[in-house]
Amino acid sequence: MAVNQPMEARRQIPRMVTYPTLMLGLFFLVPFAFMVVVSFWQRIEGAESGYAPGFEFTHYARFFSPLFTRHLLVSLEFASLSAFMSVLVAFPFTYFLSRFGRRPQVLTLVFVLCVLSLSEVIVAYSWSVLLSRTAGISNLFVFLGIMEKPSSWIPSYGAVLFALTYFNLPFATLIMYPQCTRLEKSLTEAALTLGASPVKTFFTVVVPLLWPTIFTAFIVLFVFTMGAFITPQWLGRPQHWMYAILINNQANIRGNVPFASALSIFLMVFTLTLVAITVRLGRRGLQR
Amino acid sequence: MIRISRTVFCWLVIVTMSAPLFIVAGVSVNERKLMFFPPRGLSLRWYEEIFTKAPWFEALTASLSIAIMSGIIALSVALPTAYYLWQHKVRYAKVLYSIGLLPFALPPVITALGMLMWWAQFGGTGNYWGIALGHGVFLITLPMVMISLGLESIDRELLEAAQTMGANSTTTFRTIVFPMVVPYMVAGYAFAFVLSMNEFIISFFLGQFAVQTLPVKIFSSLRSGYSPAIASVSVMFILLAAIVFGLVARFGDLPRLLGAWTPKDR
Amino acid sequence: MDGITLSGIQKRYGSVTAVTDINLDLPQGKFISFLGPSGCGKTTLLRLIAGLEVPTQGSISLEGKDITRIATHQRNVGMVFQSLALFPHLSAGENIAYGLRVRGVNRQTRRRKAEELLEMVQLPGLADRDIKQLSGGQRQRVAIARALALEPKLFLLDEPLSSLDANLREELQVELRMLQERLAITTIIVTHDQREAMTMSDLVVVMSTARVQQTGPPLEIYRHPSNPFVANFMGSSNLLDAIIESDQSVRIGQNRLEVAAIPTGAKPGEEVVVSIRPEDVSVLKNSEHADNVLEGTVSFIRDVGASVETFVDYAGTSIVTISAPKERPNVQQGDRVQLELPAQACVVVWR
Repeated sequence: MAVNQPMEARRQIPRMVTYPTLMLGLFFLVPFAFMVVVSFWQRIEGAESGYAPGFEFTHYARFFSPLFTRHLLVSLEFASLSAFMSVLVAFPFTYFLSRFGRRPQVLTLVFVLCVLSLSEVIVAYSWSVLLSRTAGISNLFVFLGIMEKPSSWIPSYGAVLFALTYFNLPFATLIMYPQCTRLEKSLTEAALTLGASPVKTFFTVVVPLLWPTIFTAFIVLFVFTMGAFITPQWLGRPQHWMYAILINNQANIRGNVPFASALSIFLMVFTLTLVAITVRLGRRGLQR
Repeated sequence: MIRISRTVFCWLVIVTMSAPLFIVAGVSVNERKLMFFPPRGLSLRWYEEIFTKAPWFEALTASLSIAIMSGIIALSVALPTAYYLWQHKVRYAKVLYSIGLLPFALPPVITALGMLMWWAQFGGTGNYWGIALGHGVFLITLPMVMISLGLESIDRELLEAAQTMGANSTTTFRTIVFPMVVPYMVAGYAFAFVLSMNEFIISFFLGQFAVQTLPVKIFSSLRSGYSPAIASVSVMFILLAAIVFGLVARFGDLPRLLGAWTPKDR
Repeated sequence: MDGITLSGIQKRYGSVTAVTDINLDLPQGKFISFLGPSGCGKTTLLRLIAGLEVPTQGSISLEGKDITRIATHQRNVGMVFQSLALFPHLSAGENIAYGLRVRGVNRQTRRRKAEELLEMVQLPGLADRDIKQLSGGQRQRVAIARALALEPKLFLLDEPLSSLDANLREELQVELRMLQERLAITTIIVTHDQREAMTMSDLVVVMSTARVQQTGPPLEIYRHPSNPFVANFMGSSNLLDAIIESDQSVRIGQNRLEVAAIPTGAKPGEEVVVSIRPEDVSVLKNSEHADNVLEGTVSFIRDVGASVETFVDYAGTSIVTISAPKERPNVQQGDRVQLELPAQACVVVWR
């Protein structure tokens, strides 16, 4: 693999990156561009995948109907809440993990990676079992005497929220792990010698110093969860359905591809704008 | 006191994270067809079913082959991109790297739809290659970030020392950079592989029911009729991940590969 | 008992023993050094006193009270870490006032105290400065101020000066000593630099391989090391194998050397080592006579500017003598010379 001199690199795209550029361009950027274009196209009724080149805003106009607005808000709610709760639980866990001895740390990391590699399908399926009446945890609670008789906890808002939070946990851990390991042990020890109890140390030293990575994890999870597909369907009622379900609905079931594209573009722009605003606010908060 | 509550908390989290694993494992060895937990009667027949019944076996091979291919594609794009940024910090390198980050920065459904529409124009849906390519591009981010991490950890002075001993850029890459980055490439591939095996939405959109990967098959069969084979598949996924990452941990420095920084790195 | 007492302290990590058999009575208000090479356990000992590690065996008491089971944040020790461990997210003043903040002291008082402490370490007006903008020496002082902010009973420093350049180091050595005298606070410093320990301490604890080798005032240890290790570590020393002859003399090779004292309980015929500092050995001029003379050949002369070292080969061992430039021996490489080893400068230790 030849490396070009720095001078050349500034003038043209060097040979080394032609292939990546092509791949990313053709198979990633172009589809997006196409999607933007199609979102303005016309929908032809009756035809199987009926849409034809045109230019209209009808699809975008539909966003503001009560139905779609409601689903957008539901998506926002689920995404932000589950991201928040995930990070809340995962942060102390990841911090403690980074302080484990070598062996427990490696074992736990392998475990987290295994959990991470469970697909949304399997997670949603498992929790649908765990929260069901016949085979679920409520049986365990009855056994322990906490409940009287087993009951089903799905479909429900809580189930969706819980499953989404659960699904995000390993991601949160892996995102925050590098920075947690970089926190110098002597900083927490210094705080101890200055009279701060371990709890006080956690809140006055650890959290402020690791705040950037906590924030990053939140943002990443938020965006990712906006695309939840199976979980809301299997664990929730139609009013809990999130945006990705609508997109699929329109694209694959109703064949209204232009509308589906418009929905996707909208979701993308909306999500990225939110992220940009939050990041800017977060940055401003860091400068005291 | 604090130490105890820390340990308790961590164990609670671990137990919660593993709850589905147990359920799924338990249900998969259940003798009867229904969803009972704890299992009543033990049997491995559902594992058999995966390897014998056509739809499941097809889905299994589809998933495996796609995972293998997409990992290679992802790696092939990730390596030059990360290397280029590391070598030349020019604007274009940063732009390319950011584009590489995009697939993971967007809700996957958007990527899935975009790909579906574009490739439908060329009849590229409903086949293995389409999905492999889709996964390959989608999964570029993770190997790219990991390889970047690996490159960052290389002490520049090593390269300078090699240069003083007469090595040109190509030789330096071949003899110093590449060997040091291989663990990160392997880890990146492992990640891409496992994530591809478990990926749902892109496979769903691009497969269009003509090709079904395992997650898609699970999804559709849960609609039509439940079978504990689903649980057995899940168990196999978990075992696969455990083996893959266990190997990485055994032969490599897993914490380091995941970005950890030990004091001696300072 | 005022001060720190360590009884039977041992710390093991799995199969590795970091320190063992530690019994020390460290007096209150004095400047104490834990001295030794890397890995000898001195930092572990310091951390045990701070409470950052818990001893596997033994107990620690401070001013008569047993603190072995007391957690660090309740011990009120002021500690300066090797990496300084200044909080990057707080300014210099906030770092110093951190302990006060934890105690709930109000903002004005904290500010005032921080400024007082900054004055004390000669960094007036830097309260709002960002840690990153401070030089190495300034950071050092902020770390010291922070450790002293809560008026602790113990002031612990882990190799505080090792990252500074030579000039700054010497300057801070003197300052630290003066600070300690003024505050009369029990101070323990961990160092591997023998000169540092000598310059600053009232008491030196020499450690090696997890054990205490010798404890005592610096000059005492220097002049009367109790074993070859201490002898060699506290500044360089000539070490010669010898055999006890009587309680006032030893035999080196064919020569008889008179000595001031032999180790307690030593009997004739036992193997010992004679330790003598280079500055105590002198090259005899032709006209001089003396007792305790060894003859050898000059193998090497090293002039380092402030002093001259003459290496003399005696029966396969190298004996070094140091002299000021004005008194350099008038010899050349290859000359045969006579070295005087005065009896009172010969320290005899077990081999």
